[in-house]
Amino acid sequence: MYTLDIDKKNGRQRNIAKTGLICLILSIFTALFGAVYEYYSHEVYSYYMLYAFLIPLVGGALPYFLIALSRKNILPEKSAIYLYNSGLATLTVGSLLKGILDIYGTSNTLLAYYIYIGLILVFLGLVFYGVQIIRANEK
Amino acid sequence: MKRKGWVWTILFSLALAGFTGYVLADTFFISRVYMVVSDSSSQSMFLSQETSDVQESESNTSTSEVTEEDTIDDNTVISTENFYSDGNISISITEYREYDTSIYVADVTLSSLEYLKTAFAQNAYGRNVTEKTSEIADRVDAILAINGDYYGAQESGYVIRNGVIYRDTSAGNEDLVIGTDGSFTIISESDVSASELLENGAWQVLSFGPALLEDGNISITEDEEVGKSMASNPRTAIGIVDSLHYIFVVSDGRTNESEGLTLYELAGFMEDLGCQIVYNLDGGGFSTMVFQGIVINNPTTSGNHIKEREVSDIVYIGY
Repeated sequence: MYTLDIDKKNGRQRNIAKTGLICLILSIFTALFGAVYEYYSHEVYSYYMLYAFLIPLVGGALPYFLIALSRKNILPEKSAIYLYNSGLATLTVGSLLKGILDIYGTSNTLLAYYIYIGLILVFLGLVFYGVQIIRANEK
Repeated sequence: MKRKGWVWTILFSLALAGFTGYVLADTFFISRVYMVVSDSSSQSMFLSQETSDVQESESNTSTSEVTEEDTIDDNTVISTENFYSDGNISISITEYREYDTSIYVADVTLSSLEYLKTAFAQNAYGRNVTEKTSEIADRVDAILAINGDYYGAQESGYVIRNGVIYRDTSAGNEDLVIGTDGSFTIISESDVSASELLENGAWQVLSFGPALLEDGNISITEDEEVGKSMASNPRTAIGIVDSLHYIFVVSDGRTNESEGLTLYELAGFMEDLGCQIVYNLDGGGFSTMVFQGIVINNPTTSGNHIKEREVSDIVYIGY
């Protein structure tokens, strides 16, 4: 039974590391997208476009790799990961879109929804994970 | 759980893609007309002025001897490729070559500010309502026209045109106020409301910027740029030399023939032309100057492709 638990936890740790890897790949893709877009934007720059890659990198790849490497940590359930990742995706797309609009020299109030929804989803993901940690500690 | 996860991922991705598509369409394509412009609304400010002028003129007729021949001479229209003149409007076009860039200068002298006007694309105020500068100019019979501040790309920033307020939400921008007396004033939207500007005699308010010259001195730093722009670009600017004497400037850029100007270079160039106040208007691919129905600069679209782009408004000289 103990061996089964360890195997199960190792499997989930691998999944967390895999999620971190996907975030890293998305971060590289976002950085490349931003670089190519800026290259063709007649030297009109937007920090939202240039640094959008930091969201999946710092918010996704980094914490996921840290959790996967630290064997003592309680691994997040999938529901928490889905919510958190959806929040990161919303913030990243919102940042790229803000960059596109900045470079064109325009704006749209609808962009605020990316921040609201993105932050709410990230927050919910963290709350789910927090509840999970509290329950685990109580046990 | 794994299947539920995929369903969540797919549904969420579709929702995110759909919303993003809508935001892009809303920003760039979906046209919204908020108000159709009536011709009569813009003329009222000068009608009262004209009435008093006529009364003054009638009272002077008895004392001054104005011959019929003089009147005819004043109203004679002289029109060439680079020059236009009649009794009220005089425009001369000169092309300069500086900073590896072609710069087109229109030197304008008016008898009254009522001939300096603005016009909206499709004759309507709204978002994503656009038309080429040359097409708007043709519709309003403009003698000279340049692109305006592209108010339609923004959701805030004052829009006062031909004495009518169309948008009074502040974006905190530095605006150019053209008064009914022909004066240019630079104001900050943070300091004064649109209705106060109108009460104080604003005829046109353009919200783009920055101001390049104030009191004859360059008012920007060497590396200052529009928003996020960091380089030489096609430019459009408007300046005042003295009462009812204006300079309209459009420069090419982004091509092998013309590098474009930095804001500082443009400010220095217009300072040399004797301008006291100069205000930068929307530039890049939108920079266009039309004189007597002909686009005289080389507007760029999609990089360095020479093609006129659609704008939301123009500044023009005409009747």
